[in-house]
Amino acid sequence: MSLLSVENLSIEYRSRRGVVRAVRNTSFELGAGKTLGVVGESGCGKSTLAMGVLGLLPPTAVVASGAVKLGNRDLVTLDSESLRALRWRKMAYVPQSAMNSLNPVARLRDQFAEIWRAHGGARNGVRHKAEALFVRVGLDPRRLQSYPHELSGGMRQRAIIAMALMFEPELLVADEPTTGLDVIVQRGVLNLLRRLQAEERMSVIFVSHDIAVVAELCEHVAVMYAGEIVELGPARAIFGAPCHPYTMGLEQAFPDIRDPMRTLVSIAGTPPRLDRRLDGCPFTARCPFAVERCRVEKPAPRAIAPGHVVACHFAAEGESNRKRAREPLVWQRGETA
Amino acid sequence: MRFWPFLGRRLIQTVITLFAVVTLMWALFRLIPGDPTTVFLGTGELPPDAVAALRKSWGLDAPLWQQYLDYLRNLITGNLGLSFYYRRPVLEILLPMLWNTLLLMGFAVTAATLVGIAVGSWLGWRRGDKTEQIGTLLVLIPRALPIFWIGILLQMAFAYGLGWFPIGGMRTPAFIPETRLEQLPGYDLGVHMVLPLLAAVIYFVTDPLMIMRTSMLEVAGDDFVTFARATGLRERRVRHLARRNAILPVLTYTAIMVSFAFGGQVLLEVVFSWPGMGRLMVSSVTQRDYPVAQAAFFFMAVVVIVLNLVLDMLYAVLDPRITYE
Amino acid sequence: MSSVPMPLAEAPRVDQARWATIRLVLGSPSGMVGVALFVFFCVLAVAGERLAPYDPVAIHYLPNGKVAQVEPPSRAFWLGTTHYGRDVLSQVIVGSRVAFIVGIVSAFFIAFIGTNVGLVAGYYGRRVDDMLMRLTDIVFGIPFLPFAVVLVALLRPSIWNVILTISCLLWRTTARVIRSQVLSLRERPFVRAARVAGASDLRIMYVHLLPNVMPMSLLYVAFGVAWAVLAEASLSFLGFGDPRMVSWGQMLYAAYISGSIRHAWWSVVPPGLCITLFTASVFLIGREYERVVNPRLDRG
Repeated sequence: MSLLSVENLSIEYRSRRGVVRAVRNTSFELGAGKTLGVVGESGCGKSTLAMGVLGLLPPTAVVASGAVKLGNRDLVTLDSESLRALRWRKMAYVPQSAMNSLNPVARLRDQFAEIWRAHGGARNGVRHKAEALFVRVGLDPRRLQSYPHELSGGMRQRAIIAMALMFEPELLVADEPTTGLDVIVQRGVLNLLRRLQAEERMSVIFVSHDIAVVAELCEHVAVMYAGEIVELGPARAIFGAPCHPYTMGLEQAFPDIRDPMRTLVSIAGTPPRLDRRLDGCPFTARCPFAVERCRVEKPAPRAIAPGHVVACHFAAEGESNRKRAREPLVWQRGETA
Repeated sequence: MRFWPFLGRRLIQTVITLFAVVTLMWALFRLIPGDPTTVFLGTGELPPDAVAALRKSWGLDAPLWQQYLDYLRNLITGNLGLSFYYRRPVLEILLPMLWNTLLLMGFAVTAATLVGIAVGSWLGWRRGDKTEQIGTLLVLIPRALPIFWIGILLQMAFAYGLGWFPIGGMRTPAFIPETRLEQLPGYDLGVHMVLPLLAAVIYFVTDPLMIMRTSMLEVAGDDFVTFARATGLRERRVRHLARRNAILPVLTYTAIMVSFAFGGQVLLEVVFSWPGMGRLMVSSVTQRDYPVAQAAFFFMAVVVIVLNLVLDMLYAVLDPRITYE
Repeated sequence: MSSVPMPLAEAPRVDQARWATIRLVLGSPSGMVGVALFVFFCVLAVAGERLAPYDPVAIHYLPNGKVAQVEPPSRAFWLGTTHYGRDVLSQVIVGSRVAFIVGIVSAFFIAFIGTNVGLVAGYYGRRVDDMLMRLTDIVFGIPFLPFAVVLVALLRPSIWNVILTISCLLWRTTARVIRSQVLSLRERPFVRAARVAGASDLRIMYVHLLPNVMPMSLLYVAFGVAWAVLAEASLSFLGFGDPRMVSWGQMLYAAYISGSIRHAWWSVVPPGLCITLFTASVFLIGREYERVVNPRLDRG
């Protein structure tokens, strides 16, 4: 049985101005010790999905339908005290900007102690543990005395990763953990994550808009567009032989070291608005292969190979579509939604 | 530690400010059109040589700069002069009044701030639901009420009307406690303090409340609150952490509040006949007893300025992000 | 999603927002109440004696020849009479004039002085800023009412001295706020562009920066009116008001020292209520205006 099972999850933001359906009917499974990358452009709903899984949605967002099963417990319907008990012990979170996630007026060692105590830990146990964790992530344990603002961005990120490992959780959700860091620091954090992933038997959900990073770190990838998962499968398949036109477009948009002179593609147009009904396939307006059927009939996710799911009417024609996708001009028909 | 040079610098600044205020006051009393003798002794009904003699006895015939230096020297040695009205050293008259004022004001400012923080953080945490919106509007009302009117209304209702509390003053003359309750230490003083304290709190609670509310609203949306919740801390604990971060702007405001509190104190002491420095200042001004007026004012300014310094230090201690410069 | 690129050197558009702002302020219920109350007092202030049933200082007599002292509200005197036999309603109506004059003139000066100090300090920075802020700190260190009492007592008690006193001290908050705004605006591209184009300091301050801080200044004009009215009422209550003019604070002074507060609520409640309502109206308008001009976290 898989560790995490998300079933038909839909999340909406409700405000005076209307309802925005940020995540629509998404489903995936994550096995123990496996990594899943979630990629997509800004606003596709990947962060909302991550927060939804963790139960950390802001007050304006609600889970409209679906289930998030950790083991055999549905986190969506769980009472708040049970959910709280699961937090950090079973599922940890490494946020987008550690800069602002640490309490500015408390020393790091006190923040460790705070979490330790909240989960029933004895007073004395935490000091050694925190020091050991810092060493594991490559930080000087003396830094535990510091305040967050006294550390650099990269160091803060490592500190948060150290915190996340405190109870050796089964699930780790990292939301753009390297965004905002310079390239060298980014490399350091990624290497750290890869090492830890190998050492722990932790399942990781890695959210990022940088598919190069995801390709390096994750065994499985989910590609999101306009709140829906349009393609889901092993990283090798997704990046080697993508079947959804959007994934193809993404791939063409990133430089490839094997073909440095290839013209990069920019998919013309913009994603559709999420506050309106979306009939048919959300990618229709920008898809080079779209036909009338795409506009009216929403493609259901279908498995075209074991563990590889695609939501496209023409998933079977992957090979020929891929050939056409390599021409940049094919992507220019996109309209602004 | 970079703290000590910072403290030193602030101390110097404080001394300069004090100096400036003292000079300003002195200059005010000297340079206002009209001679202090005519202003404070009446309108020229004295024969000219009597006026000259009086002026000489107070050193008013010496050159201005001399008068200024004498004034400073006196201040530093604690000689605040003699009251025209009471014929006693000003310091002697002022000191007991000072304690009475600080007592009432201390309770008022503390209570107003604490209530403001508690209610403000409660409102701010609720982030825009109906209760918060109504609450915010209600809070606006006390801000518009003149503090002395609040005092008078309370007096009318609870002192004259229901007779629950004394009309004014600080103690009951020749008070003999009868019931168990009355025998509690501080009962008499406490009973006299209720109405003026209530008026002060009603008036002064609004600003710390609104500041705390705004601050809490901002902090509640901060990333670290989400993260704290993610680590599995209890909701009450998360709110406490938020409050600890949100409280800083309120502290900055407290210094300003004390400045306004003196104004409110003056009015309340008049309404409730509280034997404090505020009431003394008003009566001495009316009676043209200028050494007393000047000294009272000086004390108030000193308290405000020193409190500013103390609060600055406190803020620096509480917020480790402040760099000492 | 791509956003429309804005020419870097273009100053943010300020003028076209003015009418929209007024409409938005009126749109909310609290804004409407504020404006309605304010207009109400405006009418009272302007109409004054014409609206009042009696001469506010005229002393009234009972049929038996005695002064109509502290008469409760009746058909002849809707709000009763004061300790001195004067009609409360007439006094209340005429009192709005003093409130208006003191409020608006003081507020104007507070905003004027404060904005200029803030502009100059924020723009020039360093020495000038230091000096001006040191001055502001000193003014902040002076407790307002005690100082006002001393000042008004030394000068003759008159409405203009009251205005002078209020203006002398209360500009300090405006100065600080405007200064911090100018500090952040100073580094914006449109200011840099103006400097490069050779605009003089004065021009940059008053033609470019001023329109952008104006909304904040106006907000403090609103607060200034409230503070000034409360200050005047306090001073009058202590007996330092202008004896030639009828003001709400003076009414409360007379009621208090004559002891009529013991039983004559009609001489205490109306003037205080007017001060409260007038101040509240200004606060409400100011608050709605602030919400429009400075959109914060949108709740709910």
